Amino acid sequence: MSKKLTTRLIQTGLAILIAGPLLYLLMYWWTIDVPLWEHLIATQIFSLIRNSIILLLGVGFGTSFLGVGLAWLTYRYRFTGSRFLTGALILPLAIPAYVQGFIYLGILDVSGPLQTFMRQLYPDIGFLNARNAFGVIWVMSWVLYPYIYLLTRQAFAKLDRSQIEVARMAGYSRRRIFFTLIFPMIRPGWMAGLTLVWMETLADFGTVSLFGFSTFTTAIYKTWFDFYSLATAAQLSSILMLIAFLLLWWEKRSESHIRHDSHVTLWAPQILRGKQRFWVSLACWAALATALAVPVLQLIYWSFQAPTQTWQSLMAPLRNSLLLAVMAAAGITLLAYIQSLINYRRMDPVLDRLVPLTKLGYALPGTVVAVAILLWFSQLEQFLSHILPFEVYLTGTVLGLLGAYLIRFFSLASQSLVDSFARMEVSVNDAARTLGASPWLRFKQIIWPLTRPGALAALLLVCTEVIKELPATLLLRPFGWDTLALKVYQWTNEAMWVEAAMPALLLIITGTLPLWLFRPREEKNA
Amino acid sequence: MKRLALFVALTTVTTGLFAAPLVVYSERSEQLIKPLLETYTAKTGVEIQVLTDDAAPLIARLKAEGNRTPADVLITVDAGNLWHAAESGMLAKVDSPILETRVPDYLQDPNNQWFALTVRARTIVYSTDRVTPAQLSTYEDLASPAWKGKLCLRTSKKVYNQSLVGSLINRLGDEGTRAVVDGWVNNLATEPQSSDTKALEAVIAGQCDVAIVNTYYFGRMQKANPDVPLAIFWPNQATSGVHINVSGAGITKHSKQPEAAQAFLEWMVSDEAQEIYANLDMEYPVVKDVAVDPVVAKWGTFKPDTRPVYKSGEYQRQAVMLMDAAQYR
Repeated sequence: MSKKLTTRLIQTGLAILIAGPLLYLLMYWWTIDVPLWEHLIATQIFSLIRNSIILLLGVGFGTSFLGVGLAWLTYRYRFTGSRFLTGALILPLAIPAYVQGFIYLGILDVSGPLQTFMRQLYPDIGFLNARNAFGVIWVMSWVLYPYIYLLTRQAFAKLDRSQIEVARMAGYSRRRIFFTLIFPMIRPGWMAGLTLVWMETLADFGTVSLFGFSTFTTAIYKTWFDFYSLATAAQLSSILMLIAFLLLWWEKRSESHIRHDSHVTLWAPQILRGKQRFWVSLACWAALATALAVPVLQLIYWSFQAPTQTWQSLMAPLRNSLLLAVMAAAGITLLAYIQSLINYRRMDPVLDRLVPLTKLGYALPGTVVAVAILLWFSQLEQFLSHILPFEVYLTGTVLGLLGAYLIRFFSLASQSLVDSFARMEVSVNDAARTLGASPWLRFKQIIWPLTRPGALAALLLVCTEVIKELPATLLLRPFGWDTLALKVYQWTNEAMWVEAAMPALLLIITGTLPLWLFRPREEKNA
Repeated sequence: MKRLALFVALTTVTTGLFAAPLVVYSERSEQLIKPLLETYTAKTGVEIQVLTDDAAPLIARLKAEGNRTPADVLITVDAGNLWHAAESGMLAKVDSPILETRVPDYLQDPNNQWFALTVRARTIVYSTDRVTPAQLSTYEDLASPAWKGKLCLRTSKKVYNQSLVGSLINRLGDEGTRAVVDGWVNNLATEPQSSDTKALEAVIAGQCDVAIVNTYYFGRMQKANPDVPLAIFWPNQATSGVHINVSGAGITKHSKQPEAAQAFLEWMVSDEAQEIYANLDMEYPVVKDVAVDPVVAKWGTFKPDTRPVYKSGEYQRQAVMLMDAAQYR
């Protein structure tokens, strides 16, 4: 088999495997529930689209500000605790958005401690509503910024100093240097991160419903859960898929002409003193406190209030979460890596177009992805059972569940690899080939060292994300495979936040382990 | 060969369960059902496996699995969901004199495809600091201008409210109901809450004075803090009665062991099971003369709305559309 055919087969196979179930949703355009569509258009669809746009812009700005800002500060300067903060600032990724949501809602809402205290001091202050666009944007920005932080920080770490020095000598202002020189260099990382943030924002249902903020995704749930029209929900989902596809296409287009030199002069970090040191330290520590310390302390406090809960009952779910996370992360990262490896040379424009298809799963609400997978699997099961002499089951097996994670999180792994591969110079590889280096040697000496950070990022992100995953696990898990996220859901579903605290706490601790293991490190002083 | 081995491995993992446990798909949260199932297993030796999720995904799964489904029993927390499962042909007809007689007629499917197991009353809870029971009368009355800025409601996306509005449509017709819902929306003190608990917390905080909630949410609060400044009011006592909803169960169409599933459901309406089941979450038993939780007993008795609960399924779509049109979010 020729090499080209093999790569084509692998690519197409992956695309079918991952995008197949999602494209299956398109079949639901077969019948259209006209009265329901008319009702949606007449009563809500436009305001929901407006809300979604507000949310995307708000969260996009919030996460970019926090992510790029914190990455810049921890990369460029040395200050009190900067070494610890460099790694710790990605940890909020371990907190599921809806958990952050119910914690901050508990604190900020009218019945929360903050407003209760304020009303005691000033009885005329009234009630300030925290359940609005601002509340959702606040919560989601604080859990999603680490994507941008992580991916732009990788980019900062490879920033070439020489150009900047030249610009500085030429009298460019700081701002101009940042926007004309530095920003373009970190753009692939930033955009990869932003795309993830946006896809997750589009997919979110739990957080927005806590805050009573209806988005396009709310309409998907409404048509399915309230109107029992899975078909209309699938139709709305396919619109969401189209948006995600355009988003990925936009990202890919702007990424493709960025190529970097691999031998750069790295920047020596600046050691801050005095007032500057104080303010920068304060900013970074305050960010960590808001994103991580506040929710964790609240959960610890609640854990003590829930007498019926025991750590022992959470050990089996913990083991299940870990097992699933490790298996899924290894498998998904491997496949994403293979895909990136085949693709980075961009020799095959047709196949290149397939790549965004494999990433759509991340932008759809989890329950929709779960049911699409379920429908896909049940077709597959029936087909296989028909041609084979025994019954085949995928739904309710570990393999089926891992397949679901693959569909949902492939994009996460592959986005994490974007930056690493974007930086790889084709010419180095070509030169090595001309010099007679074997493919394995080239991989070992050139490709792997350059792409390892991306691969590690993929591994850790998928790991943490699988630990947090709920809808697919709920619907497709084998009996008895309760995970920590499921234990949290079991209580939050009944609005029993206090009882949910202990499993949530354990879930966050578990999720931070892989993150801490592969945390970004402070660069050695040059 | 390798592939064959993989498939064999796959299939044995899932089909190698020789004892054939009873499989329950449940919308009811695990902690609110597990103790009951454990009691049954201890009594009869029948293993039970549960899969919990929302009703819609569970029904989708039942449909997708078709005759290959492992599920024997479907439990949901709303009559509307059971109605829908029956409507889409996922439930089997059950011929059981025990279920037929122990569960009141209005709490079961007219075609015997499902039966209620507990009753949940959706009622008015008011602030004892700012409201006297004399000011309250009916759900409809909460739409009157007297309650302007004093009402808290949970989101219309919750099926409990959809059933409540469905029951109003059943009684008052489309226009009459629209007037009530418009009045409610007009009277809201703040955007609808995401849960009954949050609505109650807003009443305690003083943001509003009354809320419409399921009794057990209030029960949990009162149990945790007996001095909570809230009380229950039973509305519509002179007219239609308190709106009730159910948690209930049916046997799946493709159950491989319908007899075992039926025996399990019949046990669920025994005095013993009813007492455990209803009191797990301070609900009301469907069977008469079963003791309720002491906290619940203190609220007294009430006249329930005895229109058949399956009607809420029939009216659900209309109810959601009406609430959407009224901007009740």
